[in-house]
Amino acid sequence: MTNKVIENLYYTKSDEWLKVEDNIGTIGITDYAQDQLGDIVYLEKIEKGKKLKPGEALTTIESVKAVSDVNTPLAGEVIEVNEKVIEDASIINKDPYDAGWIAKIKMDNTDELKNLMNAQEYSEYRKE
Amino acid sequence: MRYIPATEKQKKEMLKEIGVSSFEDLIESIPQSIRVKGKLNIPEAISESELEEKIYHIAQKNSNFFLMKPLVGAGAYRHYIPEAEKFLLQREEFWTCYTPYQPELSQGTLQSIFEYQTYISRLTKMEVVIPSIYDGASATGEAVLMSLRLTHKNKIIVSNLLHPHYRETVKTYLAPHEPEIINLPYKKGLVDMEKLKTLIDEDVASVIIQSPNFFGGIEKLADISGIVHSKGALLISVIVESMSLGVLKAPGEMGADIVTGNAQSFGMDLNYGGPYNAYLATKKQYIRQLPGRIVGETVDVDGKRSFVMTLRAREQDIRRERATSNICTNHNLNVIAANIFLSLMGTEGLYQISLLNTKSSHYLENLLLKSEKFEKVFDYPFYNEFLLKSKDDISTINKKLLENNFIPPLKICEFYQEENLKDVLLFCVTEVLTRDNLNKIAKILSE
Repeated sequence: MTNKVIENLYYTKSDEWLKVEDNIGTIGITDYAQDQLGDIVYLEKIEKGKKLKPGEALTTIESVKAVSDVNTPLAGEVIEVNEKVIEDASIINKDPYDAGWIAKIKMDNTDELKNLMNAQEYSEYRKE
Repeated sequence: MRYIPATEKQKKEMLKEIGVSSFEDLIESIPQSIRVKGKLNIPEAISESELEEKIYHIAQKNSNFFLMKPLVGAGAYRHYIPEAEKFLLQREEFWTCYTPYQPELSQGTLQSIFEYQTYISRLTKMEVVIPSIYDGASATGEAVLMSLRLTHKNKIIVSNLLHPHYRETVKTYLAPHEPEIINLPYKKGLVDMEKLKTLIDEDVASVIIQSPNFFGGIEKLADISGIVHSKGALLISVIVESMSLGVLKAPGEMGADIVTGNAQSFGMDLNYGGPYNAYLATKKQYIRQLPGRIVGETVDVDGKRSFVMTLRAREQDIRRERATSNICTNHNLNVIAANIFLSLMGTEGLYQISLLNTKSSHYLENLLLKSEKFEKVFDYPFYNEFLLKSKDDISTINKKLLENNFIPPLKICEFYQEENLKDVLLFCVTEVLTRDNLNKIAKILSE
């Protein structure tokens, strides 16, 4: 089992990470999540302009053994999609925190960030 | 499955195991007010020999189906089933071919499904096929749900000439989604294209067209497909009489996005209305939204050709309430029946038998028109079913046919209440009716 975490990112209990720059949030799945899923084969197309409530499914991710939802940590509107991972979802296995980012959202309310975990807390959370 | 009732001793052991003192104790929570008092209202037990005799007498009330030749189709078609198929289907291995989740134990079953997918893919000219669904109506329901998932839209247009039972099933399948269902009327026995152009817009997920339609008419699927695609909707092509694929252009060549069909005509008896078998086929780009899964070809550790279920991850046993569909199994004995039937027929055989269906139906239509007791309702191209308006009372006609051991055609007014369809019969002629039969029918109906 691997569980690499990156400082200065926010984390969810459903294993997404969120990078915040002003009111723009970049979403991906954690190293732990990609490891648990195994070989990722498919990421469902994401519509730009889609408005999401906190915790709502942004897309579904499929590996050889499971399909799960990727949820948005915060409410917002999808403004950019990483077309490279839509084309080749295995990038997420190789580089979940950088090249494997999934989408960017314009966040409605950054106050909600306090509900998320930091790197340390997430690392503890997945250790249990 | 054998039914062996538990002995008194076993019952006591079971009660003891779960920690109650008596059966009465076990069902204590069921209120007295709703319990059956006294004995059930069923006859006293009789001996095996008495029972056999009794059933024999009841069975004598049946007509002999094989001596009664049908002039009715409307969703269930009697075709000849070769003896070789019936014999092969008796093999015990085929009777226990439940959904094979362990490929190492189920290569035979998986191969049978793979071959079925291949047959249907070639017949419909579609890229991917699932291992079958129970019947054409539920396959169509699944196809419509699939179109909602693919387009994220919630409005559909359904041809009024889709089999009425299929239309009902689609409504049932869709009810929880509260979709807008628009009825596409017909004109001269085929879907009204002009009307389709005015009904279709960007909010439509899919258009559902049966061809040959319920009246037997062959739809202009390629033209329909152009209209449907112009607004970004999907075309769902439904085939109720699959024998027609032997002579008609495949829906995949005419722009269909999803094809569903009743495979009963491929070597399955009428079976009192089921079990049948149906297929659902689509383009490769839509593979992730297929209900159920598919069987794929691969190689084993020794590099030998083998088969395995794939795309399983979206099924309900894995994804629970978020599964794409609750379809998880199929009628595999009927899959094997279709495989054997199609392999015995071959490309040429299927073409010949299909051609014979259309020739025979046109032959009978011609004879009946000549008799001047009938007239055409619509001037449309048809396959093996056609409508004729009778000048005589249709109940009398049907009685005459029954007396002569022919199962009468369908009174179309049972499903369509239009004034001009009163006294109209939907005839079906398959290859089981010989030329002598058809001449005799024409003679009976000319008198």
